[in-house]
Amino acid sequence: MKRIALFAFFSTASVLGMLWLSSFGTVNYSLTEIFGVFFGDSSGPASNIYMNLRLPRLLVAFLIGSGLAVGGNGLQLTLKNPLADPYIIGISAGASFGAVLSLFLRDVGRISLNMDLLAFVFALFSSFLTYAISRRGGRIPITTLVLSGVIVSFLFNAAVTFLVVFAWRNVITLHFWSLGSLSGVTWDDFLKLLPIIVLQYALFTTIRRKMIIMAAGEEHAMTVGVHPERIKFLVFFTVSIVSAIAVSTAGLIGFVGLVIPHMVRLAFGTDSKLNLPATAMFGGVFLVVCDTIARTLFQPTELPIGAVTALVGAPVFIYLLRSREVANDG
Amino acid sequence: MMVDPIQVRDLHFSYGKEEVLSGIDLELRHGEVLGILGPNGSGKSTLMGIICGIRKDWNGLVKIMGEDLHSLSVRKLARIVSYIPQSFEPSFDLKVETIVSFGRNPHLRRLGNLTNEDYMVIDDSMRLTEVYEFKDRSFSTLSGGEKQRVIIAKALAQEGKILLMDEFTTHLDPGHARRVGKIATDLVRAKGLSAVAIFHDINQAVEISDRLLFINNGRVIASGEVWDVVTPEIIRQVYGLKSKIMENPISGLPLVVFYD
Repeated sequence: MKRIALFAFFSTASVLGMLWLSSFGTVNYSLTEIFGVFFGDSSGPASNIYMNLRLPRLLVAFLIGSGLAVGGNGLQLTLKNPLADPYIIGISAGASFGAVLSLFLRDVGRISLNMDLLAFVFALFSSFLTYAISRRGGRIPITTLVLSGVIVSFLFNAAVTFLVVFAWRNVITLHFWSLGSLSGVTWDDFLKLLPIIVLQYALFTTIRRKMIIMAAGEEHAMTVGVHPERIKFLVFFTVSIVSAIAVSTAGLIGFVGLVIPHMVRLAFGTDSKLNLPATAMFGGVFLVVCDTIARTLFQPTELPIGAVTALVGAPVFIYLLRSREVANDG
Repeated sequence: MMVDPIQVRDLHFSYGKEEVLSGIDLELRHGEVLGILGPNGSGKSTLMGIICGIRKDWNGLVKIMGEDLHSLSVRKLARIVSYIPQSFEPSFDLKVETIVSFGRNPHLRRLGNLTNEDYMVIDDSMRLTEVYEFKDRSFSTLSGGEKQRVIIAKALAQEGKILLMDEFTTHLDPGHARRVGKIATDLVRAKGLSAVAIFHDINQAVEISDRLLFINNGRVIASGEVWDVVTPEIIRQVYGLKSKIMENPISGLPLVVFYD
């Protein structure tokens, strides 16, 4: 009960907090103006900017943060690894290669392939590549998975660099692909992300019990009637879709899937019913906060959002690497 | 005439080119505890892995409750066979009750949740193994003996008719090993289960088991009632050690003393 109250309190505070954060920017709003925009008794250019730029950006940031956090949580449970995250194990880099490849084919080869689809194909490919490289006799040592992910990421990032420089002869666009940005997102991006993020959440809620069973070991899972390979495939598949859409919308954004699930485990416990809702909620809030910092810290110049998340995420990663959760199993 | 819970004929298994099991025969009779003994690497754990469905690609015949193991799905097998491993280390902090509830998984409908009956089975299992008092504690904070009792509770909640125990008291001190061993065997008798247990300690195996099976190099060296198979000759063949067999003054069972 105490935890439900805690969760309700944080959630309400978060929604209000996010609205407050959305008031800052090159155009500043007061909270009354924002409520005015929502309840329709305000119009004009300021209201337009809010409705067509600020608000979709806030919602997209929330969805991406939420999706990456829930995805990271799923990867961590099924791989028995607190360091697993779509960015760290190379899924995002694969997705970014797929997205850049589709642009490349369009501009250079005059072949038109759907960007999200290609991003998904390479995200899925890189997830299995990392998995295959790190698997040793049925086990995936924690640090080996991370190393394999780093190598797979290097490989795809290098491939992205080659494609970008070859096709466009400049490195400016690289920034978007390597560190992410939410500038210029639209309501269309929101509508594309929404069903995917909701579906991932629904699926992970349904198979959550099995995912927790897998956190206690694959062999053990089989002895209580779980097919570990099926669950892993479902999780890889879903996380690859989510990462692909997230990357083709906003570029590479790391560490959300690492930081948030860890914080939520500390606050609510791994096997709490609130774990998944809290992960989704705070993943979203986290990215909205990071995006606000990215937008406003050096305005009118924007920071890449991946730089902000990495600044928070890297220390958490170091802490986790040194902590008991990881030390148990080298 | 009741069908033997487990029947194994001419079982072969290889890791790559190396054959680990070379024609194992065994049967587990209804209501008994069958103790398996053998040196490290003799194939005991592999044998158990095959019976509980973890290891695939074996050759031979394995029947569980009269049904061919190949024809049993993972879920169906998990409703018959419960497994108690040597150690159990979840990667994340889980509550005791959560771990015991894992045992209900094979009984749940595909997308179903735990029902009230499931919770009753879980509570009963935790009471029988005396872990109910700390059901809300985190598993990682428990002592070795407490952890093994939680795992036994999980296996009980699974309500399988066959219990497989892989050196389940090896990491415990003699006091806890005896207590946990007694809890497990009492439950086998009280619930009318049948059990296969792998042991390292031959004297503990003698005390707990109704029959013994000695394995070395993937073959059965001997099997039968304790007084028939616990002999210096068989122990030499299995462990390469000299030994003297006495009668245990407390239990009247064989007591093995090794010497060089």
